[in-house]
Amino acid sequence: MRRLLVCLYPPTWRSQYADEFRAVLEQERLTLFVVLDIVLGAADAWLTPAYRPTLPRSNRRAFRFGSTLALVVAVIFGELYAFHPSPAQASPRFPVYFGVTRQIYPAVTVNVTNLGRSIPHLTLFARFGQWHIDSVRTWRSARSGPMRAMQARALPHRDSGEVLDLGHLPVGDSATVTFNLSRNGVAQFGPGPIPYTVWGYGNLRADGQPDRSAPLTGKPSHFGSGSLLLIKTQPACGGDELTHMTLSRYQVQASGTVTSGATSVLKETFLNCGKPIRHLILSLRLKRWPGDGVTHIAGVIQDGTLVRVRSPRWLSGAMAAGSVVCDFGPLPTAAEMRVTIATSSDGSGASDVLHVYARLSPNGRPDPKSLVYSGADTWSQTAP
Amino acid sequence: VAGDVSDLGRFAEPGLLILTSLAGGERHGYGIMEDVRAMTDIKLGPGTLYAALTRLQRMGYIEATRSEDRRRPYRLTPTGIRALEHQIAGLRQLAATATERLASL
Repeated sequence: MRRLLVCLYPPTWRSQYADEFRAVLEQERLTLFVVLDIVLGAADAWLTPAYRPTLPRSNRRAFRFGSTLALVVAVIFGELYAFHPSPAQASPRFPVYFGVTRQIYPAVTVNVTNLGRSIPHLTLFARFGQWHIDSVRTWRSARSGPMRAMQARALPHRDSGEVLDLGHLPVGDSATVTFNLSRNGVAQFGPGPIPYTVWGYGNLRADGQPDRSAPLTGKPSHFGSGSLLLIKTQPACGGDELTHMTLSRYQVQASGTVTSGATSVLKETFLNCGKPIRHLILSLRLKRWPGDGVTHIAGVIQDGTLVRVRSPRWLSGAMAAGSVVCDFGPLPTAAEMRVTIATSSDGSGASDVLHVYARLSPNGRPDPKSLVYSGADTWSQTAP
Repeated sequence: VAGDVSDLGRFAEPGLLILTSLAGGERHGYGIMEDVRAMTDIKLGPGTLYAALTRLQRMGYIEATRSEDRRRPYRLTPTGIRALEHQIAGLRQLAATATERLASL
């Protein structure tokens, strides 16, 4: 070890000091501090002109070239390592998540409506690189005009981190991106720096009708449904109009038999004349038993506050004044439920997030003793 | 100025410690390290010691004497003595100024 440390010094230096330096090292206990000190001392010696080895002119040129090349490579790789964002890091500030747990959902529709600001691009990517994304079609339409193809391109198979440039969307315009995807995973959607996102999935067109041209295909083995949320400005009342459309379609595998369920589309429109809503996420996770159907839940946001939870089907919910107790109604075949509702009033982050967890009693209603709310501090202001 | 330890740059402090040690007589490398540690409780690493030592030798402040074995003793040169005197005078002036200012607080 001591011999190696002495060898760190330039030959010229060693010819003068190696013997005595080695003698010093033999009397010194080699600690991390001592080794580091020697390494720095050797570096200093190499940088000292008196000890620097003299190279022929050609070798000097080669040395300079090599050093420069190494420096450039180091800078490039260092920059890539330090600053190049991974797909997960490149997510928008307020990402929208939705997940699929099985191989299903052959078609996905993302609808982006401009509320008055430029949306430079829409980012789509798979977080884990497990999505198969292909057959991308991008449609753009004037608010009241027919849909027309804006561009058609295909994302590479199994790609992630793709950016789809939708260009500038004038006020009132909207764009719809449809593509096929399959495989497990979680996808993120976000329209660039301004998170005005209206999203949906599951064969829904922007008009709320199922896309018959892209029916569910393959061998689905899991429940499937979709929802589409549209937010439109309503200058007359100075607020927004929320349209929440849900597609109910499910296929359940029970005892080796795939049972197809009914398809239904439900459309609800709410007018919010308070503080403009920048973002809204509704998600529902429900543990299902075989034979279970479809469950929806819709939240209504006014002035950044959840004022009502509504169920379009057998869920019925209303928030009692001054509390966040929701009656979700009977859920005959589910054992427990989790609901997450998040809103953003400033468009840059989640202002409020409400998590509800409940175990269901045998009659299908949430067991009041099991209700757990979290993150609900700012949700106390409620109105019928 | 004849002899200025500050020319040693970041090795000015180790240089001053080495000159002070050698003011007490000839010493080889490890002897200097031990003497400095005894004087000031500062542990000079071998790398730092020899980086300063080689500079002091190139500046003519110290010189090697005849080697007993592998260990080579060093001693102050007249230039080194003047450099040390100059440095000490500066430190003494600094200490006096600091003492005076502290007294007026």
